[in-house]
Amino acid sequence: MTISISRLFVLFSLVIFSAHSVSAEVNVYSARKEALIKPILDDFSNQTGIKVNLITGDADALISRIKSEGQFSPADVLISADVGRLVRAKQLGITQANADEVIITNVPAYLRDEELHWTALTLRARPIMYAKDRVDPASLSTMQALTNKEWKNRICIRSSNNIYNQSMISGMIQTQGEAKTLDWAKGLVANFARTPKGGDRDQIKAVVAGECDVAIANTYYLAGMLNADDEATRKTAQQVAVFWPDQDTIGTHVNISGVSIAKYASNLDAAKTLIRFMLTDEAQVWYAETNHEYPVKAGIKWSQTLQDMGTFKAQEVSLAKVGETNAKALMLMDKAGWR
Amino acid sequence: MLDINNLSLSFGTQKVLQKLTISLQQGEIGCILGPSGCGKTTLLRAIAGFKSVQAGSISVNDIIVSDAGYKMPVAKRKIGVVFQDFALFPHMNVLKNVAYGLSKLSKSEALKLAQEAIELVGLNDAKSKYPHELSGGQQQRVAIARAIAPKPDLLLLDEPFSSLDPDLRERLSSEIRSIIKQQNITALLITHDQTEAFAMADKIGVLHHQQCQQWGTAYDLYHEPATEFIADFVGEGVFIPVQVVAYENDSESKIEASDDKLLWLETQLGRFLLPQEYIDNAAFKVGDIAKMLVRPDDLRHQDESVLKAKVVGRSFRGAHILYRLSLNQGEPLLCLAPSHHDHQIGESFGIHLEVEHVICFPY
Amino acid sequence: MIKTALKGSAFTIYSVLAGLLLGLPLFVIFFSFFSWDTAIWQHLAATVLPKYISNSLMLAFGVGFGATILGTCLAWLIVNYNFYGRRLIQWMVLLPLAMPAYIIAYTYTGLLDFAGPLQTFIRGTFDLGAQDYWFPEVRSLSGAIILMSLVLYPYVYILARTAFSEQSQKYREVSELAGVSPLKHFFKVALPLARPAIMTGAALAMMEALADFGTVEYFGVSTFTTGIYRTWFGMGDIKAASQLSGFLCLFVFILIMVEKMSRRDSQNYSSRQGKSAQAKQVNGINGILIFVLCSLPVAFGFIIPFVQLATWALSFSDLSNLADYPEYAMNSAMLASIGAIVVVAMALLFSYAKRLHPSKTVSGFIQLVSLGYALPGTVIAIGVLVPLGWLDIKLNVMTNVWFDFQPGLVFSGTVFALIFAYAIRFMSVALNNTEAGIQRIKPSMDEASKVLGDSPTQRLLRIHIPLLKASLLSATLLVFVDILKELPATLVLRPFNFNTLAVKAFELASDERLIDAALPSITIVLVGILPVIILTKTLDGIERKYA
Repeated sequence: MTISISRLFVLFSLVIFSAHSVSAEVNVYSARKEALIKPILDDFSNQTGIKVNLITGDADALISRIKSEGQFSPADVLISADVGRLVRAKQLGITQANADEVIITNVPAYLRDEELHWTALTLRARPIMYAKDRVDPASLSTMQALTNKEWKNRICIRSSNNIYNQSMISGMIQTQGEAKTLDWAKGLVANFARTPKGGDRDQIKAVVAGECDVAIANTYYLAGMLNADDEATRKTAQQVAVFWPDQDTIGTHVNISGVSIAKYASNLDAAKTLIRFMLTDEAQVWYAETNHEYPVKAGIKWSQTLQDMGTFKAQEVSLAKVGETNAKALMLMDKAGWR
Repeated sequence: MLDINNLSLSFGTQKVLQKLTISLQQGEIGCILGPSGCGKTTLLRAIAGFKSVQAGSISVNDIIVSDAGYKMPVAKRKIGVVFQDFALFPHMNVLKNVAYGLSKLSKSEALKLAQEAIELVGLNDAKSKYPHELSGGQQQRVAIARAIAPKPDLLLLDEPFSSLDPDLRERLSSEIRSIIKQQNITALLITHDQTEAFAMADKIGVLHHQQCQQWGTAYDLYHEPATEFIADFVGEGVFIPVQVVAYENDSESKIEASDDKLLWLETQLGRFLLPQEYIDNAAFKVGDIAKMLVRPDDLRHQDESVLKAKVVGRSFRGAHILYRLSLNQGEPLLCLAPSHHDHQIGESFGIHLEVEHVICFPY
Repeated sequence: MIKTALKGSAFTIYSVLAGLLLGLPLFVIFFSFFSWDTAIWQHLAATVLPKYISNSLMLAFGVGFGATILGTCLAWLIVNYNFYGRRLIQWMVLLPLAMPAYIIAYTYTGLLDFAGPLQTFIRGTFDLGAQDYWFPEVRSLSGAIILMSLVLYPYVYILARTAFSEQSQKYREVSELAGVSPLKHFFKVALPLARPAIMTGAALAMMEALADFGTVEYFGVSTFTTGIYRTWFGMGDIKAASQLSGFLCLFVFILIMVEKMSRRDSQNYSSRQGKSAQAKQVNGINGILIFVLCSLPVAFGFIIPFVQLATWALSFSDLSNLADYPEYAMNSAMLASIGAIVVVAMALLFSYAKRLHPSKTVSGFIQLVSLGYALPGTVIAIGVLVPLGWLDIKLNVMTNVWFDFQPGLVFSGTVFALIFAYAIRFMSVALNNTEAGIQRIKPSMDEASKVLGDSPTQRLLRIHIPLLKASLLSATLLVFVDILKELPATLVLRPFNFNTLAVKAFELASDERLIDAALPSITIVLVGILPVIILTKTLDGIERKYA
């Protein structure tokens, strides 16, 4: 029996890698969920004739997989939903530079790696969201102000396990230094309305339900809720508005989804073609329209929902640095007692 | 003490027992003997109260505990049961097992009674041992101790020795009998093993065809079986064909009778007088063919006899040898001869039939 | 070690080899202890570690307790009472097995949280504000304990049911004769006798609870598992994460030892005596009461979340993707079948090797491979990737040099890696069944077979496998359902373009698209129901055989 099973494996692996020798293909390891990436990859295949093999999963698990697969890794492209993982991939030496003109001209410098090991594809903003009926937007100003006593028991935010919070704190460490960030984090934790739980959507729902008055969440979650299929979700989302903090100073924290080419990519040209495709107007519009993320490329039309949320000044801190201090940010949140 | 009157038991539509009537006096040990599947376990479960009865009644100490419409709860009956497999709790030691049935009493009282019971069965040294550390015989004693510790009115034993070695069985059965007798406990055991029944019981009932065929002492069962089944089932023996002939004075057989109603039973081995009760019942008439029970001990080894039988089988039993004999190619006979009369298969020796209780059934 | 191994038969050698192979990922974890980073441990100990420990312990013991209460009571009622609807309940009580813990967590949160229909209804009906009333918080440690108990109790139920139904009817009669009440009989006799089986079930439930990531993460409960993820993903410290996993293993090791010890005394109990317990007919109001009692765990652990999922799936899901579902379901079923067969075959190998030559080596490996059950899937996935990736690289380098040919990642890039990970993750489930089953076979059977000239292999094929049929089947089904629900390892290790139902459900749910996740979730449940039903039949068969 063992023999037949191992034969089955060999057979299976042959099936899986049957396309391996065909040149027109690219292997993508994506930490973005399939639903958020597959349609655009399908478009790519239709237009270029390059077949895309996709595997999705936790970013770190995918990185570990590329690392352990070593020089024979089939990975050509690594897509991540945050900058920290791209920086880690670079540190682990599993990526390579991609000095493509298209990237240099289209992506602002703070949104790509200095050595061009990775580049952003889209932007996500993490502003304050408030209950329209209970909170006067005039009472909101900066993130710093959220640590004031008046916000006690009024703030909802998800767990520090979440990468968006880690990046936000990491960005703050870059702009304001560790000590000040720790004080801020402690102040925020003191004002929590509840132990952090659930995702960003849950924070928005908690605001609507009255459990808290303001939440810190990514814009595309709210946008997604505003465009939901079911009416109840849409109604919930309509009771919340976005406030852009720190507009007079450093700007609102933003994070990215980005992409790298794997060090041992065997389909290098196809990989480069894919990244170029991701930066075309068409792909950038798709992201803006479908997932309500902000395009990295200037001059792309935002979705109506994003336009309604208004324009804002983004925090222009080097995301490469943000990625590097990720672990520090996490330990800082541990110290602040941010679950 | 125990009175079972016209009892009928069934499972659904399937009848198990019909019109069973037996009774035991205080301190008597009764036994229900029967082949497996005859319904004896069902009877025991009905007495214990695990099964309801369809007709008739069961009384203990003149109080009806079960009849067609009533079943006294098991716990109120004051009946102890020793199960076939002992059903000892494997996670309790001997003392705890024995004290288990005494939970209604105070702790010290329960302990005292359990101690007494354990002493009675001679397990004082094994008090704190667990069932799996005991031999089969010891487990049996624990089961008895647990059943008698609450001082039940009636003790029921379900095939109590069937899981023990034969030699242990014999030793233990007489020991248990003396414990029961000493405590003056009324007990009823069920078994398929007649030596067990004979060793233990004062009264024995044989179940067959859903009925109790006979309720009597071991002696009665062996020597005066009421039915052909009992004659066959209890003890060893063969039936030989007999012809009923009219009586005529026969000086040779030294039987003297004056009544002309008397009948002879004519056999290959001689003629015998038909006992009076058969005549009273008009069971046979002249010319009938019948069969007569011949126990191995009825057939004697007698060198001078003219009747010579050929040995076709033998089994050595110490003091005696049980021979299977063939006489004129006819039905085989059994003969229990003192073992110094040593004959090999194929040899012949003289036999003589001496029947104390003539038992006959229609052919 | 090799020397002692060689003293046994070929089976001993096979099992040692299998043990070494399966032990690889665990060795990867244990080797992490050789490079100890004091700074990070100081940080962890000063901040989050105490919480990880206390929450994990409370979760494990809470779920162990909850699952034991539910599983034991259900088993007792169903074995001992014949009530109206018993046949239905008998298989329904196993249904929560098909419900992954993370899915029941999502569902109940949707139902019961602040913005959910129930609380909204309460607020609307009584015109209450947010802070005007108290409502238990679903997303909490106690919520996690209750929900996990609701889906994990079948582990206890299955074992307790077999244990109770094997208990002799005579025991109950002894109690009845002694005037001992049924309740007292339960506590003094039935429960102590079934304790080893119940403990085994509870240990399984506890290990599942320890390995859970989805539920505790969603509920915001910091446990060892979330800590491992956080240390690894957030801090990028794979060593500290492995060390945390090592401590988790240690805890599980203790759990397994305790369970083994409790089973040791039970060997003295296992001699079966007499006829099995017979169910007592209960009619009227008491019968209805028992029926209601037994249906409560099913209602909360299966029916309510199932109906909620079905409602979501039917009313909101994008049904245009429905055509992809047969493929996902096929992939899931295929993985689960192959995985289950491989895992059970290996478990049988271990158990049989131990029976042939009970040696410390084999027992040690059995304990080692059992540890994987409490490890989160991702940790196992990485543990699998490291050695398999290494093997693949060596293989490719070698074939390149000799034959100028690259076979590709035949181990780490294929279903092989997945099956390997499942084998480590679920070996414990299978071993519990095969070990218990093989212990039930009398040694005289082996001796009889040996005397009649069977080789060990013939004996396995002709005596043990036929006698173990029921145990093997129930082990296969349990592992099948477990693999069907398994997520993190599948996510990381699956080959390209390969989706399963669990992956689909998780991707949507973790993207906070609960309602969209309903469709794949309900498909998992539906695919899982069939083996659960077969499992019920198997259990019935076991019961009848011993009746």
